[in-house]
Formats: sequence, C-alpha cells, structure tokens
Amino acid sequence: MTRSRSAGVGLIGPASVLILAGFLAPTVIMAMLSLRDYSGMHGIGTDWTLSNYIDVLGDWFYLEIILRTLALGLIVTLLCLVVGFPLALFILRVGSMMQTVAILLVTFPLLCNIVVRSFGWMVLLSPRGVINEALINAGLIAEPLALMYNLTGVIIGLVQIYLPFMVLLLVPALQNIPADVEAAALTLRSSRARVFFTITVPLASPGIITGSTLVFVLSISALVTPRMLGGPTYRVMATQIYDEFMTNLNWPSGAALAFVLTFIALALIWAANRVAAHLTRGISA
Amino acid sequence: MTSLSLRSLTKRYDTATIVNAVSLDVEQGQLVSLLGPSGCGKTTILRMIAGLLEPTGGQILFGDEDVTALPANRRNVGLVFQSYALFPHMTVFENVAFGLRRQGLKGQELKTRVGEALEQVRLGALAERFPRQLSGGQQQRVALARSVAPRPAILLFDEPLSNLDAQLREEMQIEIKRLQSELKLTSLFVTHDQHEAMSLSDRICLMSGGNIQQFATPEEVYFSPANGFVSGFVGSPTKLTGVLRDDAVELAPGLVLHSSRAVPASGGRVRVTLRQEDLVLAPQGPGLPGTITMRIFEGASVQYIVTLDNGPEVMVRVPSRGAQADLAKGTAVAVSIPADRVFVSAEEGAA
Repeated sequence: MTRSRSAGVGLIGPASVLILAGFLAPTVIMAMLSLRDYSGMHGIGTDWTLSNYIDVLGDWFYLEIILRTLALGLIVTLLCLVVGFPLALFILRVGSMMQTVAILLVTFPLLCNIVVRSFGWMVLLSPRGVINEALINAGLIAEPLALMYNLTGVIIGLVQIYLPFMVLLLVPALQNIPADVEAAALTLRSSRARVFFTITVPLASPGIITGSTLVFVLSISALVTPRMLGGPTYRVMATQIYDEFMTNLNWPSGAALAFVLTFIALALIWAANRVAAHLTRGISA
Repeated sequence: MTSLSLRSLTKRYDTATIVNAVSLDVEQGQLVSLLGPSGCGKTTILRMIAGLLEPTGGQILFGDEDVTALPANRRNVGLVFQSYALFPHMTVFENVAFGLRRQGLKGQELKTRVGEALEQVRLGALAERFPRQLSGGQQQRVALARSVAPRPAILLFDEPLSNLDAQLREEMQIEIKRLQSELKLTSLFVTHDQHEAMSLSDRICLMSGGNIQQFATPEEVYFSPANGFVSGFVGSPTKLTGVLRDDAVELAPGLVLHSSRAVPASGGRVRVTLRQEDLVLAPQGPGLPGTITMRIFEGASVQYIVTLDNGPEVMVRVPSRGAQADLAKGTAVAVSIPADRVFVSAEEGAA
C-alpha cells in the first residue's frame, strides 16, 4: 500500500466506522426484524416471513395511511413551492440590506426546535386558540374553525417548518439565471408572465426539483408535527410506525412499514433525478 | 424597417446623470455605432431603446411612432448581447424559433423561417444542438439569427464581439456587416472598440460622460475630430501639453509646433494630440530633433518611441516595409508633423 493510499484510508476511516456502526448496522437489524413472524401471544418469532409486508401493502388500513401520507407530502411540497418561489425572487431582487434581513427571517425559524414551533401552532390553531378566539370575538364566525387535529393543521405546520429549505435551495438556482437571458426573451416579444414560465421556471428547475424532493421526503417522514397538530387519531406513516413500535409493540410490522416509507423516498429521489437530468440536459454538462 | 430617433433622451439615477439629453437620428437601413469609454452611457441608451430601462426624460421614436411608453415585448427590436444570452435549455432551433412563435408562426412556415435565419449565419447544420455544445463564435451567430429572424424594426448590438478572441471578432464583424446590409436593418451598435466602430459603421456617435461628442462618418471622426476628447480618443495618440502663442504651441523651451487647425481662442495652457501615423520620421533635416528610445515591431507596422531633445516622448508608427522601418534604438532622427495634423484643444476638455 502506498503512502498516499494509507493516508486516504486514514481520512475516511472515522466516517466509515460511524456510518457502518451507526447507520448500516441498525438498518440491517431492522431489515431482518421486518422479515420475522409476529403473534400477539408470543411476540417476535424466529421464522422468516414476508407476511409483514403483505399485511402492510394488502390492508386498506395501511394503504389509506400510505396514500394520506403521500397526499400530505404532495400538498406541503406544492404549497412550499407556491409560497417559496415569490419569496426567493423577492430575496434575489431586493436591495442588499433588505436581502440580509429577509434571509435572516427565512432561516430564523430553523433555529427553533420543532416541538416548540408545533406548540406555537397549537396555541394559534386550537379550537380555543388565538385565531378562533379572535374571529369569534370579531363576530366573523359563530363556531370555532377546525384548524387542527386534521389535515389543515398538519399542512400549516409542515409548510411553515419546511419552507426555509425550499427558499434556501431556490435562491441560488434563481441566482444562476443571467439577467440578460430574461431580457432577451422580453425583447423577443414575450410578456413578463411568459418569460417567467418559459425561461425563469425551466432554468430554475434544478433548484425546484432539489427543493421539492427534500421537502417531500421530510414531510412524509415527519413525526412530531403530524402527531401534535394532527392529534392521536390522525395517522400518517411516521406516526403509525411509532405506534407499531411503542404502543402495539409489533416491531416487525413497524419495521416493514418503515422500509416501505424508505423505498417510497428512494424511488422518489431516483425519479426526481431522472426528471432533472432530462429537463437540464441543455443547462449542465 | 424604419428609422430611429432619440429626442433629448435622459437617464438619471438620484443625482448622477448617466445620459444627458441625447438627441440622435439613425436613418433607415444605416448602422450607427455608439462609441465611448465604459461609463459613457452608451449601453444605458441601448437598453432604453430596447425598453429594458425606463428613461428619466425624452422620447424614443421608431419612424414616426413614439415608443417611449411601450414595454420591451411590444417594441419590435432585436437585441444581441455581449453575453449571447441564449436560452440554455432550448436547442438552437428553438432559440431562433422563440421570437417567431410569438408572431404566431408554426408548422412548415416556422421551420422555413428558422432555417433561413440559420442559413444567413451559416449554422444550418447545428439546429439540434444545445447552446453549450457550440463555440463562442457560433453562439453569437445563433444570437444574431435569433434577433433578426422576427424581422425587427431596429437591431441593437450591445458590445456583441467583446467576448470573442481577435480573429473571431474580425470574422464576426464581416458577418454582421454583410447581414445588416443584406437585410437593410436600421442598427445601433454599442462598442468601446474604435476599430470595430470604424470598420462597421455608416456613422459613429462618439460619447463621453453621457453627452455626444461627435456624430459623423468614420472618416470625419478620424480626420476632423470635433474637439479634444475626440482627437484624444481616436487612434492611440500622444497627448502632450503646451502653451499656446498665436497658432503655435510651445511644448518645451525651443520646441514649437505649428497648427493650421482651429485652436482655442483663450490661449494659455493647451492639450496637443498627435496621431502616431501622422508623424514623419527622417534621419535628419527639418523637424524636431530627437532620439529613438524604443522600437516595437507589430507586423504590418513598426512603432517607435522618440524622445524629443529637451522635450517629451512621442509615439510614431510607420509601415514595416517603409524606408524608416529599421531605425535602431539610439538613432538620432528628425520628427516632422504636418500643421494640419496638430490637434490643439483646451486643456480640461481633453480629459
């Protein structure tokens, strides 16, 4: 072994050990666990079986949870995109002083713990919360609006939590678009709206895809916010996995559900990369 | 196709005046250069004509139509950028088709028009490539095809050749000149390169500090500069200072130059501008005595730096096949300057 090669091993050694011990080993254990049989009487058995996966993918109880999770991820991602894109454009075009302030305001919520932020939303959204009280006192509504313990509450919470990621990935993507390219489209008889949709959006697509993938994956795997703002009966995959492990003590079932979630996320990242490669075939080498 | 007129066009940012009440007429089918050092306001004028910048005052007319209030997408201009500004996510074909589609062209007609435009810049074979697969010169030719394809009323160039290397630049100059005269497009060409302006333009508008210094044919700008700025900018002249006495300038004690051109009425300290190619070298004889301190061979020409006795240095350029092409460093020479080639201007105006 040459000197430089041993130096290389030395450099990646600590990280390799950490990944093997801290990530790969638990994943393998979980994978094995998801293939064990389970009965309420005897707990985790010693036989190998695919029944945990068959149960999860063949039972409407679980399928509904999976579909609800995917729908939630889709809605949160689209809302983050719709809210984040104008915000990213604003950050890019505003003066340098306001730009610093705006970026600070966008990143500031990231410094605050998710539990605390979700509690904050509970204070605002609950049936006797700030928003409902204010609306009732103003005489605008008679009954409190159902702002939490449902999809609405979870969406509001997740959009607020993951919006900074979207914005922070969109800003550099938009920054890479030369101003001259948009000006050229304007002089070629395109309205501002058309320039936005035919030039700005396609050229920002690498950032849009990265940001959307990240927000989607984070949303479908979020646990704390759906639990707190969705309430104990609002089930998504992450809360169901938690319940399988901690309440039902059915570890094989929870592990199988966790792997289904992981495969959905991986398939999505793969598909997004394929789409990105196609869309940006003119942009990047 | 139409003429272009600017009427007291002005652009101010806070207190800084970038373009100061510029009035200019470009006749139909002519190519006019806006020439000047960076920061003289030439690009600002171009962007106001394209509709990308809003003027503080004044009017822009295409023919008889006042377009000052029209947005960029309704002005019918073609703009060629220094950075090419091609759409990187579209093929060459789609880049050129972009403006044509907005005019409602589709199908076979669109294909024909895009093909025509690409043939005009001799890029017909590269229609399916993406811009990043092309060289800089090819990209700029695509940009040229893209801007002329919709048959704009006015064609604008914003230093389109500055990013190309010298050889490519000359090829592109010829290409632009050929295309512009074939299509008889009224064109405005922004550049800081005087050779580019000279070789391309029907007329040159020389600018400085947001003001027009001279608007004339290249020959007039070269042979009859309107003021000290123009004589100092065109060519790479030697700029000297001296004291004006009647029509003669004393550069140093005993070193006197006569000028048959108009001189400032005020007298006193003046700026003298001498073109390198106007100066005549001789081994001896009449003229100002001096010594060669440097010889630079440039191919077609030879440049000398001559230190005048008891006086300043001047630069002299002679043909490399001429009689005076082989003077060695240290040779004593006589420098004579025709009186009609001595440009005298007030000192501050020559800045």
